[in-house]
Amino acid sequence: MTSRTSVALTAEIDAALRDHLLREDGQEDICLATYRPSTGVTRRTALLRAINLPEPGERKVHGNATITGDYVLRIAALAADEGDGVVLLHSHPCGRAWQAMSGPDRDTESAYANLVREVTGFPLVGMTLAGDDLTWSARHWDQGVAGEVRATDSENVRVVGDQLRVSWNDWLVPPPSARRSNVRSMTCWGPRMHADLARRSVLVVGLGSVGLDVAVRLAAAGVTCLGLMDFDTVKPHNLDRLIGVTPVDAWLRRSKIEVARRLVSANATAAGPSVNCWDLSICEPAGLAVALDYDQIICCVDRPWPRAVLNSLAYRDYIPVIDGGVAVDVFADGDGMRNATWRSHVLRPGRPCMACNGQLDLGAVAADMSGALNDPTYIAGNPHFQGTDSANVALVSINAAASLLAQYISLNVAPGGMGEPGPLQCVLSTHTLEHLAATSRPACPVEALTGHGDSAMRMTRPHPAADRERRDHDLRTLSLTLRIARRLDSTQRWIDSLLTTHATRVVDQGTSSRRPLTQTRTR
Amino acid sequence: MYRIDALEGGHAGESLETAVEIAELMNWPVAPPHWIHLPASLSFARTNSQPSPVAGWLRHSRQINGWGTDPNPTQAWLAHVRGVVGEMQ
Repeated sequence: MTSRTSVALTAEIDAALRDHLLREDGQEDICLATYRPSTGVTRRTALLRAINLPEPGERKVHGNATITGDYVLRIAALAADEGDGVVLLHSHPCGRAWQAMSGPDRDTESAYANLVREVTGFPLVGMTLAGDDLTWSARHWDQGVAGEVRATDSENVRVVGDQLRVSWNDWLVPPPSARRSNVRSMTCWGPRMHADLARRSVLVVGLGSVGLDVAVRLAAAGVTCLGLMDFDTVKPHNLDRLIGVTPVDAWLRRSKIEVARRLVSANATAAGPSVNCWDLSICEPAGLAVALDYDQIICCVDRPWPRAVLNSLAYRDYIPVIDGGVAVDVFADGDGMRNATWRSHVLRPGRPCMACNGQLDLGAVAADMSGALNDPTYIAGNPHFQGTDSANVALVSINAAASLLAQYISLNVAPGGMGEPGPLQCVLSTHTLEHLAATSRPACPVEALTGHGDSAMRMTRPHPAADRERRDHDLRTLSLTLRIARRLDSTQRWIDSLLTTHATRVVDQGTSSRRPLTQTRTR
Repeated sequence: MYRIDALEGGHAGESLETAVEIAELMNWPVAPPHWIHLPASLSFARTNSQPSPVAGWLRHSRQINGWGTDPNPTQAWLAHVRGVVGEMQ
């Protein structure tokens, strides 16, 4: 059930809307735009696609601003032809923070809500731009009919550019309380930024050497809503890279998300953090639906298929994906290390996709989907895929994690006003940091899906390898010895978690303030 | 299933029947098919093949490189298949 709503737009559309809605004469203005829905498990997002400015005579500016029914009907018909919905946007030139609707605002939007839904099949979305601090607010007119039509307030509006700017509905998602254990993080960017950053939900896909480290550090930094997705089981060959994972976890065939939840929860500093674990692949329909509930995603998987799914999602659904990885180059005789490189980049509209920047071969996706990359005889006969189980080491993977987190900070915090820097590569042998001059290909089939949301292809389907792994770590498939050992281990972990909960309460008793970090509501 | 004219190789000048799996077309044009299906009577000097769902046929592993650079994906795919067919003896 999608009970939460949101709106996302690109920085380019945001800038164009500001140009129209924020007038030099200080009066309100109004216009229409079109959107497509992007539907997750619990959240529906309207993805703004095109602005449709009024033609002469279609709107009047008189301190406030009004539009004609003909304008709404014209754009609704246009939207219906394209399979889009309609957005009604207006400005409050002197407003600050999330705007509540005034009586006239409510009357105008409710008057057109039924018409727009009848013509397009999608609920009208209303948006308000606060001119003083450029905060957006939004609602979906998706409840009731006729005179009983009502709006569901959105929880946030996300503007995706080289910076991710998020406007928050503090009523629905209050700022987190200040805590002593967050003081050092807060000092880096200030309490206002921390209150914003901590609320931005993050999904980490792939909990290997890089993803696990990233997830633990996000939790330690105070992120309040963290998702962890992996279907894999801890195996002995993971132990040299998964820091905090023990031989007991491998022996007991613990799932990676189970172990990650333990480590993330133990290191979380936010009050009542939400750590949701998904024993899924992003390639499964359920996995992708979960991903659409998050504000941003960190991609820590290396197979072509999941990378292709996340690559498409970044453009199709306006959810920035921070991606990166490690390549260790060893000598052919296996006796020596030639070099290592780690890369990181943010995938989003306005940046080249993973295929355009050379980090994904779309030609390899179908082979991965067919299961061929799990077939040793196929791998042996195909030079493209030999070395899939590539060299990796904890001493190198930490650098990839650091590079991803640096991209995360630039995207979210924008130190010095500088957003994410584009694709980066670090070369270990020469200790060189390179800015890679990747550009989008004119015929890129991925970027062509920008803003298409639910109407675009998903690239998901049932995933037999994920099913096998889930069976492998399912308690019911274990021997009696392993089940008893797992119970003992879980009991010990439970006692540890009780101690952690108590200790957290004690150390945060001296918190400087129990008040929310910032809470600004104005009309 | 469709036919393609071989321009090079041991079957140059012939019209050959080939096929792609429908399941591999679900992501078209973002991701192209991987396997090229051909009658088992057509042979390559070196190939990585598996049985095809079509009786008496094999599917050959051939990864297309640089996918997404051509504005016309259908032509890009046919050029790829022609290149593969041209490898045949």
